[in-house]
Amino acid sequence: MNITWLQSFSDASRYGSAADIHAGFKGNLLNVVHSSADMRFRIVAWLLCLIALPTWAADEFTLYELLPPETHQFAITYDVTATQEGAPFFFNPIRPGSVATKERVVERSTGKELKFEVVNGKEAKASGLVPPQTQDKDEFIKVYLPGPVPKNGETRIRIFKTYTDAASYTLTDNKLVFTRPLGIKRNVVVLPKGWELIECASPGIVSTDADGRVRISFLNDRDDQLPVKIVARRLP
Amino acid sequence: MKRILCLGIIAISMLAAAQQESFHRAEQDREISYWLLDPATHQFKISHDFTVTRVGQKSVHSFVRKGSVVSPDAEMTDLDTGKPLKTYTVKGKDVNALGYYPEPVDPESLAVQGDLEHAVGEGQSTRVRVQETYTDPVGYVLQDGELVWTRTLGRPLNYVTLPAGWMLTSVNTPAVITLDEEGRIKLRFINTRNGDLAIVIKAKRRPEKK
Repeated sequence: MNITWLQSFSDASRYGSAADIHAGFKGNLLNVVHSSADMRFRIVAWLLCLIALPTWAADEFTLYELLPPETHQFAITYDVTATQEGAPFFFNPIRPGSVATKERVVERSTGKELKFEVVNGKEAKASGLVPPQTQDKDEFIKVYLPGPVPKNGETRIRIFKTYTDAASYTLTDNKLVFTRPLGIKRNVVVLPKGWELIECASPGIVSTDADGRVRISFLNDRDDQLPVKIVARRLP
Repeated sequence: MKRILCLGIIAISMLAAAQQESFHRAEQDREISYWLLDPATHQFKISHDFTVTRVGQKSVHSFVRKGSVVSPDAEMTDLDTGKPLKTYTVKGKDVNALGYYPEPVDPESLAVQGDLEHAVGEGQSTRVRVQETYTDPVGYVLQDGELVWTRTLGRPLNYVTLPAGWMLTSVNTPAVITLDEEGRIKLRFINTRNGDLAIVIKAKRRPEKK
């Protein structure tokens, strides 16, 4: 496995996007053509992993900062807390279908960069830190924690990455459309500057950032995923 | 002591009855739509629907909130027949005298009354639509170029439509957002709790095309 050391930690102003921690960390690993049946299977398996995750993870929050829709890209910041006592690693399932770039992981208490790599489900299962129903070919981000999770304590980490996902983020009829099921509980989506929110299919709170970008937040009170669909139009 | 116990039981029974009456939001069919007009006028149009089931009730009422002024163009419609109801303004004390509602209203408050074609009979109900224009210089204002609409919403289903040419900049309560058939921003609030939603909506004029 290709171990990647993370570089400078300079973009602390971005918050993370979440449930998504999922689409490949290593773009080349994920940029693989799968049959639709295989993809469906992988997504179902990935969802099962997500459902089981709360055993080992807490305080999840994701920030999606949408980049120009022509690029199909959005920057994700994902906050999560490792809670299993003694765990030396944190495994984050990778969502099939997206390509990830610009990855970084930091420990939030110190702001220091953490080492990570992408591993398959077989290796992740061997750690005992992922659900036993994990498929061998699933993919995970394996984060090397600065030390075992302390007794009566936890380790808070933040994962940054940029996803390219032409299926869930498009420009359709000159409108920005972001469609994504969100599995974690706290999520924020920020539109690119110069775009007006005109549709939001799940209930969200809306505000406007100082730089003029529209911010929409979602609390998922469901046991499953919150179906988020956002449509925006370009301002004159 | 017996008297106190007795009063206590009565109070608990009344409380339980009141809670029972409003407990299940899903069983309530009251809904309301607001269309915000030019904020400089502080006016918005309202359309709200409700169902009357009280046997013997001969009239229905729309209560005007303190601080709001209802325009004389209020209309009420029997949705089961499509016919308009005779509509006029009455005082709270007149409504209280009818005894239709569990809680008395301020005797000096105002309500729009619509007279039903016939009293609600046993096993019957009547669905009514009320359409009004409110002026509320406190709850609907223009501040620093932004439209600000502040209101508590007590119904389970509530819609608010912005004036044409205005874009949403913030809303403090989770809303589903769509465009209406005229291209105006429309927000939907579903209140799953029995209390009120305290809504604040802000919007600004959409920039003109260059």
